[in-house]
Amino acid sequence: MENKLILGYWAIRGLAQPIRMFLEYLELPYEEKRYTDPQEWFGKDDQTFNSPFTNLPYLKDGNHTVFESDAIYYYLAHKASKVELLGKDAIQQTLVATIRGVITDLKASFLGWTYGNKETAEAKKEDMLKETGEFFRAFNTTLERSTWLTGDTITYVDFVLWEYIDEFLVLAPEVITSKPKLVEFHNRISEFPQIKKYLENPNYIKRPFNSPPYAVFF
Amino acid sequence: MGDKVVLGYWAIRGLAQPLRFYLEYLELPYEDKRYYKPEEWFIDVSSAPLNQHVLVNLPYIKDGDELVFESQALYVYLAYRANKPELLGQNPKEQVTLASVRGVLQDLFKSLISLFTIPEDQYEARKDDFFNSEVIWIAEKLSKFLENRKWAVGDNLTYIDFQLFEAEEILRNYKPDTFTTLVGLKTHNESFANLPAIKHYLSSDKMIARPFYPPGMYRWG
Repeated sequence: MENKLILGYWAIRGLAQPIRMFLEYLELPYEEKRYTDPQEWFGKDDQTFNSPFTNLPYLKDGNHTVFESDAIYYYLAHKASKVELLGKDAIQQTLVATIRGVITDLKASFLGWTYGNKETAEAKKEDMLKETGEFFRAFNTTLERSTWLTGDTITYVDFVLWEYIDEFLVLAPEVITSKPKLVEFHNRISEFPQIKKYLENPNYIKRPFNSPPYAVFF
Repeated sequence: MGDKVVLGYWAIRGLAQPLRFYLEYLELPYEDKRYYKPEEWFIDVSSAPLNQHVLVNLPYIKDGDELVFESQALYVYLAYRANKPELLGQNPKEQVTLASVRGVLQDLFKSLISLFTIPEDQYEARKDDFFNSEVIWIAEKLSKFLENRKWAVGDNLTYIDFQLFEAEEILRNYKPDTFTTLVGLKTHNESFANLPAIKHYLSSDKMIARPFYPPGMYRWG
């Protein structure tokens, strides 16, 4: 009796969106628990987990729950018997960690602005776009030198970057469209049969990317 | 490839300190290249071979012609280089647990940086409230998790224990009284400091005791 995986998160794209894409890519049967009301989570569902790391997103697999978004990719790759998605050898595993580190810096720059001071957001937007643009430029150059971010095969970090590319195509398209390799990379993943199908699924969240009460862009 | 690997970083603890402990533990011959001034780094980063690498940054590992960037990637690289891949997690369960601990630990480091980069004119007034509302709850999560565990992923040491130790050292130095109440972290800290290679390094003259953070730019370090 195979339990379906349950992915729990807010009803936004956020940290869970690349995980949703990954689940679809892996063709693992799953359900989602989308929290629209903070009170469904805080003081209620979050009390049902017995872990000091209890947080959103979570991945529940029968009696076992995984917390921390990065750990969820590791769990799913093993679950689907596709460990090559974590890096197929020492070189690629090192590059997965390298790319993940740079994506973390991009995320810090972008989300620092997105969830930062609303009053100064407009004034600081150009600086943020400049800073994040540098990271996107580095990724564009990386993709000039290899098929995927970490080499000739896809890994989970490709899905993580795809989400930021997709978001910037809405927020500030010129940051992406000026970098042809990023555009091509974005299309390439969008064209995977499982992903193409998912993008047209009514269940697919187009917006919001971020949390409306708190974010300056969503 | 019998040459020394070179670890390049600023002459502070920062992101490199756990890597220094790691290199000592791995017993890999290495050169601890320390940049004391931004100009020294600028010269290196604007010449070959560093200027050919689009993701160039500090810290880095130079291993012959090989260059690796991003601190988390250096742990992966060095584990394979030293032929000790068990430090990455020996099975899926350990690897997943490692990734979970790493995620929480990164939140703790981020919070600590936010604390110590509070603007100078607000720091004294805000620091205690900030510590109590933004830092301690993450430290408590990790402490609780570590209770009744030998190492972060269980019985086996992995690279995340090295990063945990550095977080413990920051907390222990900044808030010694509070640290003693974080039993899980305190026990882990003592066990780690007693590993022979670590114990030896801690008392050596290569050991940087302070600063943790760049002086002048951070309110504490």
